[in-house]
Amino acid sequence: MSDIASLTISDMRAGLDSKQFSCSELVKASLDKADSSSGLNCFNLISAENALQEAVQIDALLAQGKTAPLLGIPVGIKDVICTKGVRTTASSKILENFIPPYDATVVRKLKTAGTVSIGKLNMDEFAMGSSNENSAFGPVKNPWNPEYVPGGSSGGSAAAVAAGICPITLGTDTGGSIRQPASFCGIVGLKPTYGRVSRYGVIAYASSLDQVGGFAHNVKDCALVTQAICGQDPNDATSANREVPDFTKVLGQSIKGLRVGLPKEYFVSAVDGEIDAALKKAISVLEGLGAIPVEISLPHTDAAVAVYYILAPAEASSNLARYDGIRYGHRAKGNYDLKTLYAKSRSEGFGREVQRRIMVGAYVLSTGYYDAYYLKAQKVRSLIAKDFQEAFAHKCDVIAAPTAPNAPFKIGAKISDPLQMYLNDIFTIPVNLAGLPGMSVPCGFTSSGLPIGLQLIGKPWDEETLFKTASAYESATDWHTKRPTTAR
Amino acid sequence: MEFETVIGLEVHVQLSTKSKIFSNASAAYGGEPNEYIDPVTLGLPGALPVGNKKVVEYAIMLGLATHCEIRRFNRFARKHYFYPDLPKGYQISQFDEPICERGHVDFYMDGAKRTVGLKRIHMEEDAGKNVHDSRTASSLVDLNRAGVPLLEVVSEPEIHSPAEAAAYLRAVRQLVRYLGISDGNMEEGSLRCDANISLRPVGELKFGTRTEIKNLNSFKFVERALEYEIARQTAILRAGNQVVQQTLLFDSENGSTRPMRSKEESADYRYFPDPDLPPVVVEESWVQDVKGRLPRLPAEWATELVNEYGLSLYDATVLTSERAFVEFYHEVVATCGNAKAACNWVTSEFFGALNKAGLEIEHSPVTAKGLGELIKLVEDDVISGKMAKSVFEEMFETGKAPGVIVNEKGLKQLSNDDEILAVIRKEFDSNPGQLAGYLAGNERLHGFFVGQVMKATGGSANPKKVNDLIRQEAVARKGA
Amino acid sequence: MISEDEVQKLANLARLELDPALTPIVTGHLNSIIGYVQRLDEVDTTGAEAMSHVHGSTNVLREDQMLEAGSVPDATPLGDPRVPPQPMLDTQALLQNAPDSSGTFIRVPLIVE
Repeated sequence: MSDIASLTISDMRAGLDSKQFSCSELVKASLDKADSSSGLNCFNLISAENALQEAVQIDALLAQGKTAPLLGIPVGIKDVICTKGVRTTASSKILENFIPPYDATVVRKLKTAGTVSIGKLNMDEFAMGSSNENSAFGPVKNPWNPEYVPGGSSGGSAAAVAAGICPITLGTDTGGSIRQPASFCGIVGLKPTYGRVSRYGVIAYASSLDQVGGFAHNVKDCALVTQAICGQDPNDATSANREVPDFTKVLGQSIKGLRVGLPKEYFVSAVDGEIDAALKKAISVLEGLGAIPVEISLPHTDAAVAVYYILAPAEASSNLARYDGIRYGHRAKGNYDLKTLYAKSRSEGFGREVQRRIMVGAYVLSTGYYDAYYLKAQKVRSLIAKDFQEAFAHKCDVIAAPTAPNAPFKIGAKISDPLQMYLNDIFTIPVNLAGLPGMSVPCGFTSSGLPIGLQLIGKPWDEETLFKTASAYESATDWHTKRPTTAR
Repeated sequence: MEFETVIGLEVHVQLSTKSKIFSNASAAYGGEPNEYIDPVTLGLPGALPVGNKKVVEYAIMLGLATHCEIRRFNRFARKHYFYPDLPKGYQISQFDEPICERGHVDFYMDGAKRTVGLKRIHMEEDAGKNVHDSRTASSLVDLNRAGVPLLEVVSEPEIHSPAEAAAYLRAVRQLVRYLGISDGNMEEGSLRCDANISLRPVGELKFGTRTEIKNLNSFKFVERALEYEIARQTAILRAGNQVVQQTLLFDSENGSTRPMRSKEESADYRYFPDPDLPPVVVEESWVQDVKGRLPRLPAEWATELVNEYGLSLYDATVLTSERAFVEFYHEVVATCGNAKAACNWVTSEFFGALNKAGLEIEHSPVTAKGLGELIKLVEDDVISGKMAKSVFEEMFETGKAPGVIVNEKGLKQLSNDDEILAVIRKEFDSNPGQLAGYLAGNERLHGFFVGQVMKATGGSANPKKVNDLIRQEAVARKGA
Repeated sequence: MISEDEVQKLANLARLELDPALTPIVTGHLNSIIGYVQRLDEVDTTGAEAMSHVHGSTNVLREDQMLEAGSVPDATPLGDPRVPPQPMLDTQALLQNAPDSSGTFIRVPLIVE
């Protein structure tokens, strides 16, 4: 049987329903692909036994003639999302032996939808990073060229799809952690509106910014996985009480007359020339489909990274206070008094970037600095959100922009300069700050063959326009059909 | 130099909800160690809090009962510190936006009304419990209590003696029990108290340096710890030295305070609004709804008991000390119609019997209606007061209604004038010698005839009537 | 500018043990980040509201109900799609991950009060 693991969902579903292959065979193919691609280091844990057992159950359902959009589809879960009985580490030494006694809501939903999880995907430790180099389990490599980073923090999730291990994976996005790796790996990734998807069971990095989303080869598959995970959850007070529309309905609809906002602050000299060129081409494709490009302004764009690097570390320093080696996780060996035990356990357990952000967070929240940093950042955050509101109220229906200002970089290139690494997220961060849905779709390659992403940003709760626009763009281009040949 | 004592109390009221403030785990007292746990209680990775609506309601109730302003826009805040009984490394509390502000608690002390102002009441979660074992140099953590809802009631520094502090604390306990939001059980830690105390020269307006005494878990300890601390601070000030601002622990074994080592570092709690919990908006309609459901509070009851029922302040205080007492009393009065008699019966016979039997009023075999009926039987001269006492005893033993007991035992009092007169006449006629002496003015013989009549009626005659009718018959005989 | 001394204090506050040899490097990184975010000083925030929560939902509260451990079934393929509220966990769920325990207690070094 050929490489069935790299098929799209539609093809997998057709194969399963027509008994071309069984779920067990499909899962086996996925596990084999994961194994043969182990050099990419996508997985922190492969749960082959569980997956094959679940596949047998699904095969029983298929034999009964049961069918559902995601029934029997192999998936991968970012290792920041709790899976009952399956080790969940957030790529941190501090959780190296943690077995969650409960499922995250998104995991529960994917199980109910009939998917089979083949394992836990590598990531930047506690989702802090833009290159997947901050992992206690080593960096993930870009399937298009293993010398390059896959982006982060959901690097394993993006690489696993790009490498054809499974058609959909879950990631999380706090400042671009779905969109940027999707862009770097040449696939589709969507961060839903804040509140669309439950965060229950998702190890928190920055609670007011975190959101779960899906990766896929194409827009339709992305819509299917997004559909499966959305909805209010009684266990997450920030999940919204809103109807979830059928996202697949808008696929293929015309975008004639759709006003596409182009923020002038996003098309600046800081953007790599090849990226700028690919973006301009993508916009002309949209225009060719009947969309109307309009220039807009998001005047507070320049402040976004600064706002983010106050708010996210502040929330992180608080969210990560629970990792103390008392009830679970790494506890330092030795006969220490309580206070020393805390400090030793945490210093041994957390990586450098995590410790750095915890300290920045503690600093901006401490007495005497709160107003100047934290409160100020919250105020600027509301101005950033307002910029988007204004644009959507008066100028455009959707915003198009680069996902990242540069193409994938080489492993190790930026690791010694945290600030340069942070600036990589300049175009994705504002979307999290405003709580908007954002998506990255492949829109070309650099001269050295590395993928480039087009970012689409929507109004709150308007994922439909993103799917509609992306689907129209996809139908006019073939970037989404390109697969890396070097997957190893 | 004479010093004035200035005390402020922070009272933690544990709310009697079924579940914890931010999760569906049981909020019950006790349990096996770490029995009442869930992902939120354990602070597991990925767990998220969801607020308990009842906690907000209870906070509004206590706020209204203490005349506070209720905040419309409420946010929870995270308060950070590391401690093994604090699973998340932060406590979810309220910081600069407490749900209730600027109220007061009124109570009586030594027959006089006192008022202590409230700064604030806020909602927060409790921490777990640690058991220390110095033998193995380890502490054991039980998280059953972690996440149980608390209201922290912070008074103004307007308390001026240990006795007043205890009286205030009793008033807070009384209120939360009336409202039914807490059992106020200090032994089980449902009510815990920290005290801030400072001294200043009499007449001085500026506060002195204060110390904080943590975890005073009985009324007695509150008084003893404050007395000790007043003496300690007085000695320091008299010697011309400065009181050091610090946190103290009260050692109930030797009755002294000592500095808390874990509080030596100056804390930086790094409060910020909890992003996991959307704001709680308390609209006026919600406040009004809660107000409409408030029970009558001890102060209202006491006023009614004194002004309408004519009871003494002392009796009113005794009867209103518990909501169950005053509601019981109220029903007794409603049944018998005599407020004073009801007061006497409830506070002496009834409370005495409960005490002797070691019963809570909720488990009393005598109902309020039953006791009211018993008093009514006395009022209506159906039975004598003496008979009533034995009927009451039987009611308490058997739970039977008083009417049933009176019928069964034929205990009815003889109150019919004609019947009593017939007996009197018979006794007069059978004892001519004594009658002559009595008619001649020997008062002692009045007692003799009362005794004879009572004996002849088996003690069932109404003694007051017997008295009156003997005199009436004697007058009639003299005139004849 | 944050001094190395302040960095040590922050580490202590956050219960992190900072290798003295690395303190200058960490201090350098923190200063570069703090220096960068200070650009917010130039943003005019007059009248801007501090945004602590997204999308403005309020009063998302639960009824006061207690849920016993095991009262909610695990997810099954094509089973009930509704997400149930989280019930209690067995004590075992705590003990299997606890680094040190005694009976059903979690054990830690002696706490000095």
